[in-house]
Amino acid sequence: MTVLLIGMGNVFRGDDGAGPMFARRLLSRFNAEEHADFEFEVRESDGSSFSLIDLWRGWETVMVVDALIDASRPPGQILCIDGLREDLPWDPLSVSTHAFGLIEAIKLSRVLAVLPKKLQVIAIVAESFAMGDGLSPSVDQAIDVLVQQWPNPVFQTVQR
Amino acid sequence: MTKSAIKTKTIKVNYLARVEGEGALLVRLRGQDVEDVQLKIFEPPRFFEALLRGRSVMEAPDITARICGICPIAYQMSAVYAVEQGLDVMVPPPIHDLRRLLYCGEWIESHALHLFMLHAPDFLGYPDAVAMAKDHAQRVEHGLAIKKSGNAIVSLVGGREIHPINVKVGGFYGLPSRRELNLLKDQLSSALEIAIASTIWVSGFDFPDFDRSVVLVALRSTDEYPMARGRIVSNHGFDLPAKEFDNFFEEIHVPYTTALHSVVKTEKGGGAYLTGPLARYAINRQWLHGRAGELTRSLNLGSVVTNPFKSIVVRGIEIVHAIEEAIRIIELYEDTAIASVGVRLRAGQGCAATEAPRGLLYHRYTFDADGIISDAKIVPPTSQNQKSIEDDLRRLLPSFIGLPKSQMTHLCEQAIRNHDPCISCATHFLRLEFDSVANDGMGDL
Repeated sequence: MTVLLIGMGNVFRGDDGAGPMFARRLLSRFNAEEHADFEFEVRESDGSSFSLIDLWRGWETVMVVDALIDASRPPGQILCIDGLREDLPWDPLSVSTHAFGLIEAIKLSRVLAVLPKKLQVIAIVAESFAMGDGLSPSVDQAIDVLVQQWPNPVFQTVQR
Repeated sequence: MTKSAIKTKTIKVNYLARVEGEGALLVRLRGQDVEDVQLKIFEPPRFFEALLRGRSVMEAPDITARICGICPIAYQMSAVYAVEQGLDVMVPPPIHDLRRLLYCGEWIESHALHLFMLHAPDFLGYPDAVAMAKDHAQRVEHGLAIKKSGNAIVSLVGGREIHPINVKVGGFYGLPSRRELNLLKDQLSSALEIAIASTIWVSGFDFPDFDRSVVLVALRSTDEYPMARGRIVSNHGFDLPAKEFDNFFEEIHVPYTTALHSVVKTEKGGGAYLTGPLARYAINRQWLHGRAGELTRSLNLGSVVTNPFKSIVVRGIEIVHAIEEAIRIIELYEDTAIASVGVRLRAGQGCAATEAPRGLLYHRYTFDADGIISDAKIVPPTSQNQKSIEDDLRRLLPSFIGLPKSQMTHLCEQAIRNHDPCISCATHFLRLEFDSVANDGMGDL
């Protein structure tokens, strides 16, 4: 079974580039011969709902790697969230188009019956989303760790 | 009846829903009268006109594209045509055609996003597109498919879906091949049928009974439904080249909003005017051929659509037209080695107006002998439409005074969404004046 891995974010907004940067490093460093039983394809997404729906339509297993702002957690911490849970925190689609993101993509995909059977969101706790390219050291290191551990990453599963 | 006995009502919407960007609305009613309407935009000013100072004119397309993630092509087109006008750069017809194809892509994806995800839920009684999709899944899928076809054009010709990278002063950095463009045709042909069906669908919505005569301003071309070329024309008699824009329009600072209002200098009553699909249709409907032209007749749209709630129908027609135009340009496209023409820098000033999906977008640049910008002016469609949107509400509400407040509030929001405001585009201006009045009201909503 092939897994779709989506690195989501904006490389020009500091740590928001964590997802795409992880995707690029994984592609350049992953030794497919050593892990022949793990097949995956890698895509990048700017995080818009429509891009995500378009990417994961037809896929059974999807992993999305994204940055997360959470002041209660240390930057660089790696979390795993079940993307299929019904109680994901949601800014309603009724706010501006700036808010058309991952959560809205999940909600709309569920209604349209195009949600993957398995959707994992791997979130890297970010330090800053300031303008400009370049990751903070903690996020940069977290990405390296994630790439080294792939395809068996170690992370904290978020229950709520 | 004494003044104190007259009932007053205030409608406050702290965050306008289903618009691009962040804004709010305040309406004060006294009896049957609308005392005040304020479309409050509180998205922070973004200072693009200042950012451009000291930069090369060659950078203007890439810098201004960042003003908007939904309509970056419009900014790139207004920028390149403005700079080329100032430097007397003439691009050959194939480059004009490819630019028009790129603009078609943006019209398709922007209009589809608005029609299906932002505006249609209003007419069907849903709070948002996700709720609407539960009962109208196929319609939402149609919207996604149409949007995707527009994005495919932008991705191929522009080099990237968001903030395209292939546009430059003088032409393009690289050209798609005829083979690559032909691969889009099937997708566009399928999108065309869906767009026609969707336009017929929205034409059957229940529209509030409201007609208003307004000053309409759009480009008018001599041979096409305009996107990037034409003179600036109004239904009130003026007809001018882009270089006379500043003689007819001015931007004014309004205390309760971070976006400037653009008004007609010579018009009585405040100078409000409207750009966008309703204006384009009224001024250029004779250039809607093919299936788009057939639709205007079969749907009995008439020569002017005066009910702003029916803008959703006109947007549907423009989607159909843009898809047909895209197919036409692709079918005539021939591989060419000329991606761009040379650009010789010199001191000067250039300006241009093009038709963003939401309406007229004006750029003006002043630059030195090295092409370094000393002054820039950008007037986006939402700045131009703000006053007209407020006037819509002033004239609309008296007929619906008897409605419960929640329904009136929804009607106000729907009336704003008629014009698909792009708030991020509107908040770009150079000057920020601090005073206690300007900062008042942000927490007063």
